[in-house]
Amino acid sequence: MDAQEGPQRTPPDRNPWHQTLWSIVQARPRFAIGYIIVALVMIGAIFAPVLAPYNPVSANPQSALLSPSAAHWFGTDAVGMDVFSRCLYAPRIDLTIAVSGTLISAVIGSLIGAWVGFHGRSKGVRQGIGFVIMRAADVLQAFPVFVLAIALVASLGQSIQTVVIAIAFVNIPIYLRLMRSQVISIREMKFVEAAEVAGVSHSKIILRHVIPNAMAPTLAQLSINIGWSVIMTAGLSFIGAGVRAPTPEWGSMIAAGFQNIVTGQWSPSVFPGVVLAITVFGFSLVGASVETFADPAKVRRLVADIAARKRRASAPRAALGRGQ
Amino acid sequence: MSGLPKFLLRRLAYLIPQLFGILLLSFCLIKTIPGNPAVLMLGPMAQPDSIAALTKRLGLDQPLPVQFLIYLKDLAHGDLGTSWQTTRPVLSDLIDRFPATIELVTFGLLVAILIGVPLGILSAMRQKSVTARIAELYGLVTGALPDFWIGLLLIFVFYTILGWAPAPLGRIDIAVIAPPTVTGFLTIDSLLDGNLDAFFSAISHLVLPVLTLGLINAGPIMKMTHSTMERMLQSDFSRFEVMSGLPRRLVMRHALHNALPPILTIISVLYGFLLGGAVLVEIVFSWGGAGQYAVQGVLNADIYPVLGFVLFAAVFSLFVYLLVDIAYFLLDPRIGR
Repeated sequence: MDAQEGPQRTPPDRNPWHQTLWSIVQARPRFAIGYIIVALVMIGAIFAPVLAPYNPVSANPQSALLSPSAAHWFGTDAVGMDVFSRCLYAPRIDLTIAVSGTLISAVIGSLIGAWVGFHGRSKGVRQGIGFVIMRAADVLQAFPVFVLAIALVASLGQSIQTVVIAIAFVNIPIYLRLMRSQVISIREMKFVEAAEVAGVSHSKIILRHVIPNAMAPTLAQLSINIGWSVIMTAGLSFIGAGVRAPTPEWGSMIAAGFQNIVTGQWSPSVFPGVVLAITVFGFSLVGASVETFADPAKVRRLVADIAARKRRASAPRAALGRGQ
Repeated sequence: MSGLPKFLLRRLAYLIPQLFGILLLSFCLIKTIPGNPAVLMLGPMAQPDSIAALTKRLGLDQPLPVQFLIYLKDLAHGDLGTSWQTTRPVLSDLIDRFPATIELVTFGLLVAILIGVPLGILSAMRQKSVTARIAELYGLVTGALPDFWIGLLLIFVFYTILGWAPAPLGRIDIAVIAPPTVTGFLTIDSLLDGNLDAFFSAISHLVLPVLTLGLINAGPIMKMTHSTMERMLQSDFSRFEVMSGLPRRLVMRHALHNALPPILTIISVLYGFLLGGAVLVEIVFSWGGAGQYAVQGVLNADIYPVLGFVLFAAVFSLFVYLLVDIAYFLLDPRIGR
């Protein structure tokens, strides 16, 4: 994270590695914004005990529903808890759930997807199993995502682990399909054949040679998916099926401020939503950057943009030189 | 159209295993609930012999495959279980509430299409223009905003501050007499009844939730329209048309016709997704639809309404996908022949 942030603060030096980074930042400033947002949220969550001005779960009825002020930057909620402190603590829960749920689904989905893609052409039982798995993914995707998550939480019992399981479960088909479609084309390549001829076992080929070459779209999806999962976690908590108050969590904070918004006290609901939206925005920008770096066509367009930028920057000087 | 019946038959052959899978998964969801359902249904004060009798009657002492068959048989008889909160069969509860959800989702999707498709076409037409930049930012921002929070903001601005919108409490004013139920869509029913008061009340209650869903879901529609239109305008047939000197309007129309299948796909996916996604908006506006009913079930350990809703929603999505396949067939002459 530091590596991405460093060059924006220090002026570009002669080091070509830094210079490349700096010109990427100039051509695609929104990537830098994404990394900064994600870094800030993470730093805020890690150092929340130091940074937060108040205890996030201590209620103080005397200072309930205060408007934003110097003492309470984001105001206080209906029971007098400081909204800013709670917003700082919230990613500890939200991001933990979102990141672990997404990672679990990515690992399981990619492994199954790679296996199915690898054995797609082989005859017999394996192809049959692959067919069944893909149809199962179809079925899973016929269920509306959010409702399936609610149903899972309802039938497994309400807890943080259940929310993680629900998020992991509903996202598996995405990674399964992504990995499978990549592996199907990689499977036909010469280096896979070479490994097969050399007598390497199938599971080893998949893990060592196929998956590393098919990972790029999955990595891009990962960051975007973490953003979605944060929204889903907040949504589940908003309806009361996820994390429960007083644990600081954006969705339950928005829900807690819901009653007050109708009577005009907007801050307890609006600020957690803003912080949540900015966080998700940051993750989707990071996802967009990974997508760009992983896609040769997009990298080519980025390189062309950087070149055009440089030409434009040096154009006045060149014109001057010709004039003399 | 000789190919259509054959095409439909093939799609239906595909649909039945999928339906079976959905039923199997929802059965598994029931079975993962800890505890004996007979105990849950009878309450903590039940006598052991009445629990044993109910266990036997429900077939809970049978092996799992037999239980699944019993479950299928019950479903075929329209028995989705009973909600202990309303003490009514889940099926009739859902039939009462599902139209409210569909009405909300349908109008929300229409608004999303009305915003998303023109914005996507405009930004594909003029690359790097201000419109294109705004559209791109719009797509990024809507992807990051939770819809239930936007609903709250709209309530705060248009109800609390401006006082333009009615209170977010249901589909129609309490003072207005609701029209007799025909379709379950309040807007259509009140028009059929000739009851203009009810019609305008229903519309005014629809505006904010529909706007919430429309604003958020226009994002993905806009992105898909933009990218496919861009691809079509750069493809050989469009460039050939431009070189031949065809009017720009005509070139755009042909490009749009070819870009429609992917746009239709994203719309159909959104339709199915919204049925569940609208749950949050339903709660914010106390909509009283099927989604809110399901969430009440979750919060009160009343599992059958949840499963009934999941089943309804999944079957509804399958139905929408089938309709889209038929639309594909009509749009693209290459499919299925």
